[in-house]
Parts: sequence; structure tokens; C-alpha cells
Amino acid sequence: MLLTYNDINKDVVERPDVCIIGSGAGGAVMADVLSGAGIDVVVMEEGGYYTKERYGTYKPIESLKILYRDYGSTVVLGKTSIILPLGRAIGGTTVVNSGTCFRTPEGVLDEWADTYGVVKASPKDMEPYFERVEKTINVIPVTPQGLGKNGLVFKRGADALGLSNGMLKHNMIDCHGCGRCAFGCPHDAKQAVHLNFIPSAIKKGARFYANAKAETIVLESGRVKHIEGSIINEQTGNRLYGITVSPKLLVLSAGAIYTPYILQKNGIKLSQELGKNLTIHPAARITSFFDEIIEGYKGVPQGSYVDAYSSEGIMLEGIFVPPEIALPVLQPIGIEGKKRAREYNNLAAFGVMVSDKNSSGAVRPGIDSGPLITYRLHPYDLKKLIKGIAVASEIFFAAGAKTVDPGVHGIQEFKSSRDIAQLFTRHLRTTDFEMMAFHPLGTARMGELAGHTVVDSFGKAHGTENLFISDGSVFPTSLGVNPQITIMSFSMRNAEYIIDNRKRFLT
Amino acid sequence: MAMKELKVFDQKLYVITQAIADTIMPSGGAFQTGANDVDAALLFDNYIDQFAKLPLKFVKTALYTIQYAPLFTRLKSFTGMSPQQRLRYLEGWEKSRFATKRNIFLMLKMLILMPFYSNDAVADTIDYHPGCLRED
Repeated sequence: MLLTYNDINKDVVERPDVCIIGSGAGGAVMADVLSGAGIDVVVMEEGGYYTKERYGTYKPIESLKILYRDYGSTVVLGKTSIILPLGRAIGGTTVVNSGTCFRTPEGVLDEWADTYGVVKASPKDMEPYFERVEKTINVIPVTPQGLGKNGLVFKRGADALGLSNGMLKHNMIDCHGCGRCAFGCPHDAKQAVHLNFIPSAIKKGARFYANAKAETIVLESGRVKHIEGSIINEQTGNRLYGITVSPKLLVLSAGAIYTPYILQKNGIKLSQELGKNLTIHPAARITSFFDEIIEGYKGVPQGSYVDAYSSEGIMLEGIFVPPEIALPVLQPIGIEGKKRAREYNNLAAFGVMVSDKNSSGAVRPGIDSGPLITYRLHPYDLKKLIKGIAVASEIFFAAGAKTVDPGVHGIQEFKSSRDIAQLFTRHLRTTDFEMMAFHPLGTARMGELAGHTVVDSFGKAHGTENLFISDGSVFPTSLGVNPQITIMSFSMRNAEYIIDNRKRFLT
Repeated sequence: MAMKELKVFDQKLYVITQAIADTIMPSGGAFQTGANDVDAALLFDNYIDQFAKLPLKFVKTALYTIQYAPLFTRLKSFTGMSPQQRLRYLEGWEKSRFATKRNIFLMLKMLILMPFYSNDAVADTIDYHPGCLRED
């Protein structure tokens, strides 16, 4: 059963075995696995329920308004402001992410075991979960035909320079290459969790409440007693009814920003590490103009990668966005700026993501109705970003670009590869870079070192009897790659742990 | 006419926004359509109608700051300047070496231009015709 605010006409009271807050990569998988074992599950999701019949017709800026939090512009404060888009819908960020799939790098799993004492999460332990998740969401490589010209010109440049590159894997079936992964796939080719894990969980009896905002968690003597929230009218934002859920066990899957926030807001500290150690996988965009027509909006925007420097924590991955998102950023003001806009069809773009091993941030209750997110980019990670921008610029010139814009304040667009040296010879500060971030992790990290972690190796919160966390917040370090497969696989593993210990947790 | 349809701004803020939008995206040049040809100020107002309180306050404060800050340096408000003066003034914001000042303007510019470029007539003028690699 899936109910939205339209289906509800009185206060809701539920007494399930398990309540899950959040229906994204973590919550959807948890709901499916638990309900498959005969466990009674209720899921509360603040966002609405949308299908391709709705989001397939949205313009990109409408998708930002409807499918994302804060119009897709959640701000991370620091020396420079970083935009961190977060999805808010049944299916969570999987509805609006790029669809890129990576398994957790083996070195990362090893580090979690060695440094944080995470148990039973070795590459061998995780293999069956990766396989099951990938099968369910149909993970396959993007084909060169599906890449589109934006990806192809970058590949041409990387090949010319002899840099290792390839096609990314995506969760998709019969992709038409519409370039709209981040705004809701109009053909539902992208296999977000509202197309697989959630319908499967519903078939097994799970009850999903869309537009159900969890507000209060009542925890007494280490036990969650109940969760109180509101059914929200998604058109007006007004509260319609109350919802009270009294579960035997609560799973928080609201993501690395909202999971710590809802706990902090309710005075539930769990550990001094809660809300700290935020990593966001900072990214920069590099754009260039070609004589040839690119029409970069046709094809899979994030279809290919260059991993020649991945051992240094630098990944280059495709990006491309429609003009209403790209041009407001790229175009200078005035008549001169309009020339740039007119060349939109000749525009190519690629992204640089750096593994933030040294940087970190925090989530705290803010002064308004949401969290205050802060982040400090370490100079070492900034150096990686600069190197990534330089490499991407070289690749564009090798592919035949006329000009390259590194997206750095105070540096004019490059006219030739000789200009790239400015990135290293000029004194550049963090504030000079336009950055975005897409993968918040780490604010409730897992492990067996109680003083340094918030939850144990299976997501059970230290010092509580019936509270689990199962989302990106539990990962102790940056993955260096897109996290959806990792989140889903760990959630599947944690669900099985709960099932294996159901006498302990569910009686 | 526009006043009837405003959801967020009062008439004063609407006029300030019109002046800023027209400076960012004037008519003519590489393509004819400018901000005021499609009433970008109204599109902007309608787009941000579901902003939370804090970001809405940010937008209004930014608009008023751009309007009245030049009173201290140029003895004129933004709307009291000539089009050339407005352009130079906003370029000062856009290229400022003070990151906060620059970012406030860049955020505002982005919010004004997003609904502008989302307009079908504008998309047409830059030859943007959304489509897929495969249309079957």
C-alpha cells in the first residue's frame, strides 16, 4: 500500500514491527528485505509520490522545485558555499541521481575494517549483496551509442592523451538518451528504487506513506517508543493530519544530512560523533566550446569516466544539464553574455570529483526550519581538485575545443592548453572555485569503536536497543565514487542482520 | 497587469527585479529576446513562491541591497542609474574579489535566468529543442 496526502482524511496511527524514515536507496531496500521475511513495515517519506506520467512532463526547473529539497539548492556553508542537491520523493535521491553505479572500492572496505573496526564487511562478505542489488536494479554499462556527443568528444580527447577511460555502469533498461536523469527519467529507463524495491516491498505488505514528515522521535531509556509527524499537503506545504507510529524498531534512512538532523532536533545525541565527519565528494565542472555541434543534452549525461588519476582520489565523470541550469551559471551579464548563450549547442562539459579524505564538515540544527551544514575543504583536497580541472582542460583541448572555462574566479577561459599552467602558477583560494557536491556521507559512522562511531557494524545505534541507521550517514569515509550501490548493499545486509536477530529486536 | 499575478514580491521589489533582470539579459544582441520581453521578473517571482522563509529573506535582502547600496557610493539607487551605469555596477558584483558579494549576485542571477531560459520562446531563440538520442 502506498498512500499520499490525497488518500488520507484523518490522523494516522500505526503499530508496525518496523518503522523506516526515508524511502531512498537505504530505506527502500530495508523495507523490501524486511517485509520479505514477514515483518510488518511502515515507511514514512516526507516527499511526494511521483511517476513518469508526472515528472516526465516537468521542465527541469519544475523538477528542481518538486523532486528536490530546497529547489535543489541545499547550501553547504564554509569558506565557499557549495550546492548540495538532495532528492525528496518516494524513492529519494535515486529518482533524481545520475544513475551511476559503482561497487564500494575494496580499499575503502579494508580501511573501514582496519580503522573503525567494521566487521563482516570485507569485499568477499559484500559480494553477494552487490550482486543482488545490481540484478534488482539492472546495472549495465552505458553503450557508446547511448553516450551522446558530449561523452564522445571527451573520450576522443582522453584517448588522444592515452588516459584510461571507459563507460560507466548505470541502473537502466532501454535508455533513450534524453539527458534528463537528474530531473526524473521520462521513460523510467533509470531503475530508481520506486520502480523495483518499493513495489516489491508493497507486494509483500509494506505500507508507504508519502508526504509524511517525521518530526518527533520519543526515546526513553534507550528505546524508541514512537514517532510523531505530519501529513503534509504537497501543494501548499500545510499540515493536514497527524501521524503517530509506535514500532518495535526504528530504522532511520533519511540520508547523511537529515538523519543526524532529526536526531539532534529531538535531543538524541547517541555519540559525540553524530553530525560530524561529513564528507560530500566535492565536484567542479569544466566547460568548453567546440566548432562542431555537440547537443550535449542528448545522451546519458554521466555516461563515461576517466579514471587515470583515481588512485589519487580524482575521478572525472560526465555531466551535462539543460540550458536553464547551465546558462545562468556560464553566461556573463549583458549583451556580450548572450553570445555565449547562443553557442549552447556547441557546449561540452565534464565534471571532476575528488575523494575528500582530508576535508570534513558537520550537520547541526539551524536557525530556520532545517539543518545548518558546514564544510571545510582541506588544501590537499583542493590541490586534487585543481589537478582534476587541469586534466579535464587538457582533454578538452586534445579533443579539439576552441576554448575551455575552468570555472575558477579570476581566471579567464583558456584559449589553448598553454593557459592551463595558470592553475598552478597563480595563488588560488578555495573561494575562487565554483563547487557542487552530490554524495553526503559519514555523519553517523559505523564501527565497533564506541567512542569514535555512532552505530555498530550493522547500523544499530550505540546505547540504544531498537534504533538502527541505514543510509549514507554510516559510511566512515568518503567512497570516492557514487554511493547508491554501497548504500543499497549495506542496507540489504543490515536488514538481514535484523531478520537474523528478530527475537532480540522484534519481540 | 503583472501586479495581479505577483505571488512573492510587492510592486517595489518587482520594479527593482525588472531593472536587474533587464541589465543581466537585455533585449537584442546575439538573440533578440531579453528579460523584459518575457517578464522575467514575474517568472522569477512565481518560481520562488514555495521558497522557505530564510532563502526568501535572502532574495529580498539581496534585491534591496543591490538597489540601495549605490546610494552611498554614487548617490543614486540602482533604478535611478542609466543602463550603462547599471551594467558596470552589476559587473562589479559579478566579478568582485569578495566571494560573499560575488556569490550573492551569482545566486540571484541564476534564480532570475533559470525561469527565463525555461520559457519555450527563449529556448527556441537559442535553438534548444529538447529531445532524446532515440525518439521511438
